[in-house]
Amino acid sequence: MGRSVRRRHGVFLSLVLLLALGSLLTLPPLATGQGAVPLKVQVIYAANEAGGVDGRLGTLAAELQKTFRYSKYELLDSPQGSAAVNQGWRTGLPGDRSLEITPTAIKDGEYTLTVRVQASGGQALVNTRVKLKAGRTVLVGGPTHQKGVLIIAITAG
Amino acid sequence: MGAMAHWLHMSTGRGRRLAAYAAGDLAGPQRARAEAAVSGCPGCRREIEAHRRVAQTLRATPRVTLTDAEAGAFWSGVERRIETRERPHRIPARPALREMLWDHPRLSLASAAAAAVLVVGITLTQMGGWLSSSNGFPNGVEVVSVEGGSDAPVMLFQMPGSSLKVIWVFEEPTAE
Amino acid sequence: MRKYRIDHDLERLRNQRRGGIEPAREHPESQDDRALVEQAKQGDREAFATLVRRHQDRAFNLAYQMLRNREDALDVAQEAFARAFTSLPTFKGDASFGTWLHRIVVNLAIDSLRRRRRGGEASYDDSRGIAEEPEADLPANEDPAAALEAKQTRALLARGIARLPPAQRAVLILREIEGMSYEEIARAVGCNLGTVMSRLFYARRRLQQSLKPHLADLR
Repeated sequence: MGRSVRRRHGVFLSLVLLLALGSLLTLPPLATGQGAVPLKVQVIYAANEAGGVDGRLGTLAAELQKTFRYSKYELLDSPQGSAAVNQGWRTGLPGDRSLEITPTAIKDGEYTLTVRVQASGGQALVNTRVKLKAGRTVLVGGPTHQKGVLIIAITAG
Repeated sequence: MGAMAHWLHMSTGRGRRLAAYAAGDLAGPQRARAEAAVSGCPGCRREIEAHRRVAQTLRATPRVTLTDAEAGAFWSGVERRIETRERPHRIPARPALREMLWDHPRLSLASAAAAAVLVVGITLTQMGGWLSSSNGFPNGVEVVSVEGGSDAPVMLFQMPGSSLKVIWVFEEPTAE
Repeated sequence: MRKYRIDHDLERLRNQRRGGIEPAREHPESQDDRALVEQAKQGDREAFATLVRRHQDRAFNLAYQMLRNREDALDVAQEAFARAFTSLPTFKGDASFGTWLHRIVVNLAIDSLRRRRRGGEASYDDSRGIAEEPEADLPANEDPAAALEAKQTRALLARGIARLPPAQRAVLILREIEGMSYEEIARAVGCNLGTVMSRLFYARRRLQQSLKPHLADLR
């Protein structure tokens, strides 16, 4: 393979790399939507004890029963609020814990949220990033409470 | 409904014990404690049971041995290699990347093509129209990333027939 | 308030005699091995030949499970012994000779897999070239249908293993096929206990995921 061919390859490679660098510098950043994200949280106590399913859970009850095998589901709290992008919304949880939700992007009815659950003392139990379509719910469960666990249902929009 | 997705975040001592439990490697009080941790979570139990069955099947794999001829000739093969090492010879220098590209035009073309793909990928990402389209994730919920705390492994799952994705935290019990 | 301390829990994990994880299995001939190693270090080639004959099957089996190719496995196993011989002066005896040798075999096998990958494979998928499982004698009272099913399952598992990244493949094989303890595996692959268990968990999970469409009882 001759020198001229090698030179052509080298020039081509350099051009492509320059193009990559250029695109990184010139393209606009990812657009994020404006406005506040409505947030709804249901804090549920689930345990294997008498008590049945709390009627206030509505349609969520059936989904919980498909997912878990507890005999009792009790709605402890249902805080609601809203937060703008990159603004945190915080609420307390039983056992001196806290929940913080921070929207990081809104786009076409989809919300990207950072969800953080902290134990008493401030140490993180879980730190997650989720994408939810408006009206959809994700569950964070497992923190111990009395004889069972907490299940936190988070809905955006 | 998508397939179930289970994983356990192995960041903690407790997470590692759950991994050992999944493998069927725990006994006694440690096993009992791990059982308690998954008792209310049938998705976790199914995942763990499947892990255990895979481990058991693998352990039953028959060993592969040398044939008589291979075994007979094995040591002389080793000896030849030892003697070759003991004879000094020039080891070719590892070519620098630049020389590799100059001498291997196909490699340099492949590198250029890979860089071109990278450019296209970055461009589409920046435009935001590729990775997160509104039809990108079933059931309208996607868990992009999750990590547990310093002593809290995390499992992600979704049961068949349910629309709910669950992020399950295995919190260490703390007696009051 | 009672809280678990991570250090304490990891110490218990390491202390295999307290129940929980099975104790480390020392190679039954390790005392004799040490004597042979010392003689080989003094230049006794015949002592090293004895070590080779003692460990060659195990080294070959490990290499084969990693590479799924007899020729490559033979190559790696012999090369491992040759390297062990030239590295004898560095062998301190804190691990058994067998465990030390396993480390060399695993590293050479991983190198071989990476060379295969550079040679054109798009991934670590070695399943296309996978060799047939060697015929094992059927026990007299075993049902042929069950034996066939077990063989098919193992063939599927072998393909699944061949798709694992080398580091996960190594710990899975050392644990499930070689039957090594977590401690031995950590020494054999040169990482800590936590990394061994993480890799093992993810290896089993990937295997399980790749087998789910085929094996109803693994769902």
